[in-house]
Amino acid sequence: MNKSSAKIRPMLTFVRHFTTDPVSSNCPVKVKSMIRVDLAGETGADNIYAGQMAVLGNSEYGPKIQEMWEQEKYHKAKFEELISTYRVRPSLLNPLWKAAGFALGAGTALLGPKAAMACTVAVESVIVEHYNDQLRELMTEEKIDEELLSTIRKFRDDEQEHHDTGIQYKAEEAFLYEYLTKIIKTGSKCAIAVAKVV
Amino acid sequence: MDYSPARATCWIHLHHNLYADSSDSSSSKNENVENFKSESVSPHDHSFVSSLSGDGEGEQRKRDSEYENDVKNKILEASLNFVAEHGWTKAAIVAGAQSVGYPGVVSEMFPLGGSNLVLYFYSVCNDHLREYLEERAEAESQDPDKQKSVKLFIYDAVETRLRMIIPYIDKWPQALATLTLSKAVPTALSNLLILVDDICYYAGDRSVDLDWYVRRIALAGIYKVTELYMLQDKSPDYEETWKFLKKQLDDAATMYSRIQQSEQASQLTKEISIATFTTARNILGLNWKR
Ligand SMILES: [Fe+2]
Ligand SMILES: [Fe+2]
Repeated sequence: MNKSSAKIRPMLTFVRHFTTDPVSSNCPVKVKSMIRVDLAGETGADNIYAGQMAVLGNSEYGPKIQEMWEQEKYHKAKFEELISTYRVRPSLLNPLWKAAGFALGAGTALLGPKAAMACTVAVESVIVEHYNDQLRELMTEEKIDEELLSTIRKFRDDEQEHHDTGIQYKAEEAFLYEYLTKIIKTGSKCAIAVAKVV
Repeated sequence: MDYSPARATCWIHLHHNLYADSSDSSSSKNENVENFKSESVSPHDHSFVSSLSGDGEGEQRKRDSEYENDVKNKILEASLNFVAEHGWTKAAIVAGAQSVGYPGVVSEMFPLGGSNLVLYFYSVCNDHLREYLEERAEAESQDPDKQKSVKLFIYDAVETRLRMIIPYIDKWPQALATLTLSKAVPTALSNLLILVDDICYYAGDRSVDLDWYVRRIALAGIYKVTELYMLQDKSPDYEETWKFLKKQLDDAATMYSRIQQSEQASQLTKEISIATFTTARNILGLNWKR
């Protein structure tokens, strides 16, 4: 063992301590990871709409954005509840998901309402896909968790609606629609990958 | 990472010695090529989550991979001369490699083909812009009479950067298309973020709060829209494009104050710590070069 690894070991133990869930709860690790990433995602979504509202709140798009925002707030609250009943460690990066979400919402809204809607379409399509993956995985569990299953199914439908709203509000006419969605989709997927573990 | 730099570099050494001084492109080393192929890695593979490993015994390894990168960069630089003819394609890389004395098969070192070439060009342009901005910021700080305008600085930076693609403008739509291939997107995005981060930094942005995020995302958006606008602009010296850019910046600046007045923003500003900001920077792979 060389010097540097001896120095690193206590740090690793420290990090592991915070990235491991409390052992006492009997919920499978896989399910915990799901709840953690879902809360991170909904936290991001809540802030995306907050960012859009900050810029477009007084425009004709305001009421519709507000409506979707309310649903996101509910999604987030629900996962906050699940995270405490299942005793899951929340993502360490929660402040980051908030900031990134808000900046994404506000930053794209600065380009105009259509760009904001393109952002909605991109993010929501990634979330729908992500929830569908989770539903498939939950179905294969021996003991199917009905509460979690129905929660995710309901939210998946909400997100699909948000996605369709974005399209309906002419997201596809946004000047850089294809480009913007591609970039945002990749960004969201990376965020999901990070939130699963950290 | 499933990657053996030592082995890959051996191969390059071998071929460097064999071919460096001749422009003969025929190769009988296909066996080696096949070996190498499965171990090759993109030169811009830092993607999103920057690697945390920093082993002490990696000195030799580091030197090897530096050497490998030098070779790759040399090839890609030469390949830019063939973009007009072949586009952003593997064919351009093959021609480029041959022009500096490597066999065409070394194009196998670039698993993303044409995308690797675009990504290389992108980051070289970013480097040029960084040098330019550094000088400009330096000059402005020396001269107290010069009225500093952040908006003008940003406008000038974006224009300067966009002008770098003019020599390739005919083939630029193809470049943008190759960047949307899913394997290229993470690096393309990272390149874009480095670009806007440099501009914001030299424009004097030292924020480590919510503004840091919003400014960068907004500027990235403006850069991209203007770039797309430029592709269809037929006006002399892209006059219309610069007008468009100015309007985008003005509009964004006007609306920016709304964000600062929002309740959620002030709430978030309180919550975001320097640690969050540092984490974000690391995850995005923004390792500052300045
Ligand atoms: Fe949601
Ligand atoms: Fe949603």
